[in-house]
Amino acid sequence: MLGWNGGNAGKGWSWVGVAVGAGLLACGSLQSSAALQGKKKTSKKSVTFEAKPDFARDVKGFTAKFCVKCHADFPKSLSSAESAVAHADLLAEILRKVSTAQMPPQGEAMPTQQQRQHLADWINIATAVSCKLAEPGRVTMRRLNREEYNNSVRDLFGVDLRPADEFPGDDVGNGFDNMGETLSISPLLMEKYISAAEKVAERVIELPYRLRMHLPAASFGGKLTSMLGTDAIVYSNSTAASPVRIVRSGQYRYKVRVYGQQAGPEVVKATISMDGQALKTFDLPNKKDHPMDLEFILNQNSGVHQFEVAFLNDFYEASLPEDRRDRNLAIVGGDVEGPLDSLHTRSQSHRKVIPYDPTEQTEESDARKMLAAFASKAYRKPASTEDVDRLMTVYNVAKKTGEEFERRIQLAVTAILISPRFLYRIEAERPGVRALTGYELASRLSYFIWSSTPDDELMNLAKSDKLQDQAILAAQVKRMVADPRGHALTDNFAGQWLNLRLLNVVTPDPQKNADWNDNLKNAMVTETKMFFDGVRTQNRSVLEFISGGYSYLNETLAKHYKIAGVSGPEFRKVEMTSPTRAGVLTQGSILTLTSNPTRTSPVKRGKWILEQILGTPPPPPPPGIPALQETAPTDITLSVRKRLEMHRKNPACATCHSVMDQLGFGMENFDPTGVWRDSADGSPIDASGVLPTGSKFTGPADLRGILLKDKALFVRNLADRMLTYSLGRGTTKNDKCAVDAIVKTVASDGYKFSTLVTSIVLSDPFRKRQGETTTKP
Amino acid sequence: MSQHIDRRTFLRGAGAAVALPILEAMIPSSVMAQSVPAALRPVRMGFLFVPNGMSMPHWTPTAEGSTFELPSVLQPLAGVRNSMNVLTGLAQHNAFELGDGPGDHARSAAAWLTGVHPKKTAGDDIHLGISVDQLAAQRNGKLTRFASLEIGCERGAQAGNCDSGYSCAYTSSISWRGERTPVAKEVNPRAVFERLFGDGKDQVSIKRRDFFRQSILDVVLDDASKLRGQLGHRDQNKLDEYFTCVREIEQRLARFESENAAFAMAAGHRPDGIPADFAEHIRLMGDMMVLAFQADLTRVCSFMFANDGNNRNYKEIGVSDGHHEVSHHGTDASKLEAKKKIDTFHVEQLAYILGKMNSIKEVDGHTLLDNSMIVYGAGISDGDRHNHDDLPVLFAGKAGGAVVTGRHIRYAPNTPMTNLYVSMLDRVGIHGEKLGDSTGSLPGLF
Repeated sequence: MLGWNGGNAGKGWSWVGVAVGAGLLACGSLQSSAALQGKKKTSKKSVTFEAKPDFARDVKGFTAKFCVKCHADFPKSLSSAESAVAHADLLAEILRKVSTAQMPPQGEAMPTQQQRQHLADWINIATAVSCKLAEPGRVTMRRLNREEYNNSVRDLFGVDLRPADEFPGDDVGNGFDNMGETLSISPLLMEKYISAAEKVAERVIELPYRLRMHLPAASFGGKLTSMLGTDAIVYSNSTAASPVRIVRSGQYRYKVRVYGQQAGPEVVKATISMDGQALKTFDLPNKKDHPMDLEFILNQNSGVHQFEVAFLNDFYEASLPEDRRDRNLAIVGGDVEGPLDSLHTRSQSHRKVIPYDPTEQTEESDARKMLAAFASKAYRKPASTEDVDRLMTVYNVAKKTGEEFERRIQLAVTAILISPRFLYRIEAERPGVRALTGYELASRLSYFIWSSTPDDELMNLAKSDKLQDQAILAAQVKRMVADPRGHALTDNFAGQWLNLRLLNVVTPDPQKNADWNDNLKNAMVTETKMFFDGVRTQNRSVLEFISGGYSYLNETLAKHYKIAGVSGPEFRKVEMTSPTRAGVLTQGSILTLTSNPTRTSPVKRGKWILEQILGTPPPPPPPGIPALQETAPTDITLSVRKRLEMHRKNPACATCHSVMDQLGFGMENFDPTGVWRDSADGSPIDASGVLPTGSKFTGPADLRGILLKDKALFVRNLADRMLTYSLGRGTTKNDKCAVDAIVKTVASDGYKFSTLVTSIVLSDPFRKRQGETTTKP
Repeated sequence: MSQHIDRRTFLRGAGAAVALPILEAMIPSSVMAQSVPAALRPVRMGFLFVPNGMSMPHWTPTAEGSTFELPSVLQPLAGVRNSMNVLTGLAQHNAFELGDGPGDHARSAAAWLTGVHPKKTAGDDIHLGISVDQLAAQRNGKLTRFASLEIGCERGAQAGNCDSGYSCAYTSSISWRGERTPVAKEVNPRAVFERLFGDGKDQVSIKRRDFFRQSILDVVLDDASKLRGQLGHRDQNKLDEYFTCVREIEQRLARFESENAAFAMAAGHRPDGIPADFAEHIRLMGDMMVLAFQADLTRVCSFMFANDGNNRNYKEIGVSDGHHEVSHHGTDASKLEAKKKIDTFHVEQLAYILGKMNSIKEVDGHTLLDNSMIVYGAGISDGDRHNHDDLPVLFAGKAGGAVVTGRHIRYAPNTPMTNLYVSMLDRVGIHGEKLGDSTGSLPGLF
């Protein structure tokens, strides 16, 4: 992670500042002061100004004075307040550059803070979008990412093969790896798609298999067995066994041909067994000229089995003539054949594609039916006749070259898994704004909540056009969030929202963090994931992410945290007795991933809070200043706090660092891997901080109180992050109304997790789609 | 059920048995260069990138020309000193902020092979330009089984934005097929090996597999073109990526059918996966590049030792702070020392790779290194200043005899690094190109 790792910083547009009371913690003087004036107000109309925004003064006057000298191409059409919407992008850019003091450049005439403020206010107001006109936005066709590919294959075939683990990493945009615009395909990935499709199809669909194996006498071995000619002779009451490798479970026919070397009063007796289990005992009166065939039909699992022949009644009398002196059992040979019941022994995965074995007369039409059914699942909408024709082309090419039915289907399934209809989530282009079709909605839902393909229930609702019904939709969300597949939200949404995945690339210094190892790291990840999972599955308040006074620990982690009374490797819920640890903020995972290898970084921790919790990323520092480092070149022996204080003396840095550093100080009692400490490098820890608003705090509990003062700020950020994740595109000012509504609904329902997910799903950006062209009214 | 011998056993056995003669026999006739004028011999291009700048005082030789002493970071290269040139004074102007504020790590990686200023975004609208390796691949790629190879030791980032509001696509990709398409790299040496040499299937089954692949690809291309008509422009652009990739693989099938089983035999050792040891990881990936060049499976390779901004510690050499952190040395002596150690460590791995290339004799009697152009360096000069002029650039190999090596060449400050690329492209028959901010070819090298 770099010094200026911006959560939303690249968005270039922040309506958060003007819309809600972000002033409490937002950094960047312009946004915060604008917000302070609009504090506690939630709509643009109620924002108050020192002076009424005025186009002539705030924009025209400003640009004439500070911009056009260099930007001679400044658009003439930006001539009135009404023209602002048409120039929204340009205005956003101006806002970003001017409010972060990147423009005007050094050495030119400088506007006052107030002038900058007026310009910002005017732009924010003028480009705000009326909720009635808000457009739902358009998502670029999304390629399945690695997780989605793995899960889709798992849910299509019912077997977790994880083929995408071999794929190259997916690029991240807007903080997530499921953004339509960012996900691309390279020849390398295409190669991997092809070989993954082949491997999956070959693994799942079983080719006809018939074992016909002869077991020659010599294959029957035993302590007291020896060969006589081509026969195996078993003597002295011993057992001879032939090993048989069964590759596919099923019913097998075993045969063994035996005879006796007869002597004494009894005929030869033998017991046939399989893996030590006696099957049957025989009297064998036969002699060499008329051997006897013993036959068994057995159900066997795959693996190596011992087919055993035991000789029971040894007889030897030296005084008798040679041909009547010695009784022995002789084996001529054996045979194994099977499986006899191939119909019943196909795996469930195989049956998901080939539910029954067709006869030769019906195989062509059966293949069509099977491919149509499977392609409809894989494509997440009914396969057209044309789609099936295409698959049948592959089928027939294979048939012509003499491949068996199952192999033909295998190849057609390979084609399905390489088809863009499987690899991309496609929504048809139509002009204007439209509601998504049931199938499109089913896909959006299942990839949002499960990172996987829709199940039968969703597909059936889509088929009967019921999914657009809001009550049914809401019920589905409830079901899906509680479903085990909903864990994908934890892995993929929380894993990225909270930056958990970055824990894999941090490398705490083993000398300073003695107990750091993979085991501890994994325990930290598990803790945070179980915490998120608890809120998800028990439908708890999302505010618990900040304040929940419990966690999930095993012995490793509890020891690390110095919490007594937790033993064993399994995780369990532990109520925190001290107020120091609560919510995700003070979990080892977050504290470690925001630290440097050898020491804590209040800047990184503060920045993490601003970005991931509050959604008010610090703006980039002014030009000419390299990414912030915490070390002043002068004196390395100073404490981190001291060095940061020096750094903040530079007014260009002070605005943001006065927020970031202070927030980070609140967590200084946690060392680089999240262990509580009262002192560091011989000095006691000072975990106090003062925010620009004057709020003072000491330690993590106080800090959490401040974070929770403005619940809407946190919930808005969480809603914005989750909406981004659910849509696969960055949010824009057009989504503001939807986010406002989501925040309101969530707040009115006890901040419940499922309400958050439901209100996202019911929002316009999620349920609707905007075409590239508008229809003429 | 197909039955096959355990592949590793097979490869080991076969590799030991056949050794080199087979390899020479398998080299396409185009490489049999003795009868071919030097100018037409295949010349390989490798671009090896390291993050977070360089200890410039210990990198740049004091003297110019051929009598320079190797500074301490470059000392591991003593064995190949006379097969390389140190180039000083080159710059990537477009990696500078140019009004975009911080984000030098992202820009340095993005501009390194493109010479283009990346659009500042962490969101949907990444925008850069084609990189020199991909340009070479697009023009000359049809001559070899693989147009190009993109490898590295660190996957693209898994979460968050990577640098001051720049997408992770910039910090983790130096290879770009076009303005909006970074090329993902392969980080697992085993996967590279299998990609290059196949997965050990016999020739007959590969032929059969390729036959079916061909008919499947025909069908999905038809599928995709039907689909295209139902999409808006942005989606069509996405689908076009799909088309391009499928076609590239189709051509590969048509061009070369199932030769690779034999290559695999000769290539011998197949790596197990990503080794825990970082040096070993770099070396194994280097081995893969060398093998691919040696067998003429590709002539273009980009290789990121790590993504820019990487903050791993190097405890294997006694550096417990993160690389990015120490690169911001603030003139602190211990950080400067740590940075020097890391830089030297990377150069040691480079020395292994170049040494290996120098030990491989090609059929024209020259070494593989002689017949290559390997660029090694960082997109940032000083890690603390984040400047992108005076870049550390090493140019190894003789480009098939076109380059006099063993020199330290100092260029005028701010000479575009892309001019070097233009000259390299020229050397492989791609003439008159402009790449990023290039202003012409680079004098004095070729």
